[in-house]
Amino acid sequence: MLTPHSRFRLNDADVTAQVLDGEAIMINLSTGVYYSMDKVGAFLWTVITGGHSLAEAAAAVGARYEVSAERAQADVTRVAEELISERLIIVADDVLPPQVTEERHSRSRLVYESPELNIYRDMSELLALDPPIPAFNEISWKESADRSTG
Amino acid sequence: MKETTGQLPRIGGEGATDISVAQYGNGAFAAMEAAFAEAATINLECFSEVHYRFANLEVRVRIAGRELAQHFRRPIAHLDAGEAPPSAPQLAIDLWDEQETGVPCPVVPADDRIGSTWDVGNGIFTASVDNRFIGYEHRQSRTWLDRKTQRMIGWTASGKDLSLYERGKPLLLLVSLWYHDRDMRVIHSGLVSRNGHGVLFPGMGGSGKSTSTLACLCSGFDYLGDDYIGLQVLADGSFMGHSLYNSTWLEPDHMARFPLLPPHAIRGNRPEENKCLVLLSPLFPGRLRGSVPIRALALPRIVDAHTTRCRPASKVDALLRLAPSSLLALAPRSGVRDFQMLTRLVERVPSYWLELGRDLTQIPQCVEKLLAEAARQ
Repeated sequence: MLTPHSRFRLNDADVTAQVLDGEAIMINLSTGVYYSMDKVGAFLWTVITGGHSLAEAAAAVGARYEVSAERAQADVTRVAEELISERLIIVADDVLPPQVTEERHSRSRLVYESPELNIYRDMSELLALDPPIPAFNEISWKESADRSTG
Repeated sequence: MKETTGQLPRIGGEGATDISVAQYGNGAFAAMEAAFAEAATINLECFSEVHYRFANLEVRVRIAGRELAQHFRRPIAHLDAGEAPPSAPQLAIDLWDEQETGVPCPVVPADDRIGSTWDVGNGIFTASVDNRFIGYEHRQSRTWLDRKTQRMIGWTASGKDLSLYERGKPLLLLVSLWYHDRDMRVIHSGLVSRNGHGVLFPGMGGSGKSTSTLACLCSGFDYLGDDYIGLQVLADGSFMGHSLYNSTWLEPDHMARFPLLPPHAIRGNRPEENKCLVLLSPLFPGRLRGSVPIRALALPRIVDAHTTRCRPASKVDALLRLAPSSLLALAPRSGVRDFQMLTRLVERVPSYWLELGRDLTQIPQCVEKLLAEAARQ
């Protein structure tokens, strides 16, 4: 059960993500499903995976975009639930609150569009047949570079 | 992750010692080395040693078995380095053919009770507990990579009985892992070049990678690959693409669109081998390159139109086409570092949609155009 104080972290055992040109792209390396979120969604992704609570994330969205506090709270909660359901993030109440500077309310806040998680499942069928081989330990091959291989 | 369960049938020859590389590591690998050494001296006429350059690194390949050598060498013939280099190779590959040499494999098949095993591409991937030794078994062959000494050693029951997969992209998974250990990445993409400037064609199966690559090759571009390419970041942040194989697999209907290819098609004789193999090296001498700098990304997309056209694509579009299949298709599983590498690639190199119409002859013109535009940026 999520509360306004719930905090999250990236499910980094399975997921890798990047924010590029204002769009977040996430790949679940275990399932092969990949995702994108643009605009408000990309901002929200950065805030949520940055250790902010739901309440802090909703406040950050409200400070940046033209949106009511109620709608921001509802959208943030909906997206967080979806990200948890897709195992992109994990509830981690032991995450320390990030040290942030208060985002100032600008005179003209940005136009708000409800954040949407785009889901791409075209790779997942392939992976159902051939699951990815897990990461291996690093091996210090360089130590033996001068060894004769003959 | 789907791990194998249950005991696999023993496929080593009679008299094989009951040891496992996954369990006994160095000792079992040494037994493989000893078996290769025996195979190499049994009949010197069927032994060969050839030197190659993979990603500009020296690779020595020794093979005991004529048939096996012939099949192994063809798809990498364009990477032949000629004379042996004065320095030690950065990868040494030793393979032997049991049928020709009479030397069986001394190591038992993968066993999920020892180390870890995964089903991959109709074969079984195995890792020793410390991950130093990584093996791949496919049908009647068994090959291990010692990641510490950068040495690969493999046994094949018969070079006459290799699958089209083995004849087209030999040792792909282990070579991919070797690239990974060298801070490079094998990605799922085609790559051609013109005047030394490379264009990548990333995308999933069916997106038009092979069509684009082969259309360019047939009209004068140089070829580096149509599905798997080695990617390297150089010290100045630029990207280099490396060729792995000169082979292509095509469905017969698809191949018919390239009239040069069908007479050279090698057909499989197993039900699962529904594609034909074409080895491009003898068809396009001098047009197969080892490495080129990457100047542009062209994202192929098949459209219902006569005309092929190109237009700028966003970095996000490029990353969405490039990353999933590249990060998920090959060993080992990628992480943050590989995703960051691909992100840096799309940030640095301009991307274009390549909308593939029915007229294939327009593809090379479009690729020329986008290369020229990329050069102006």
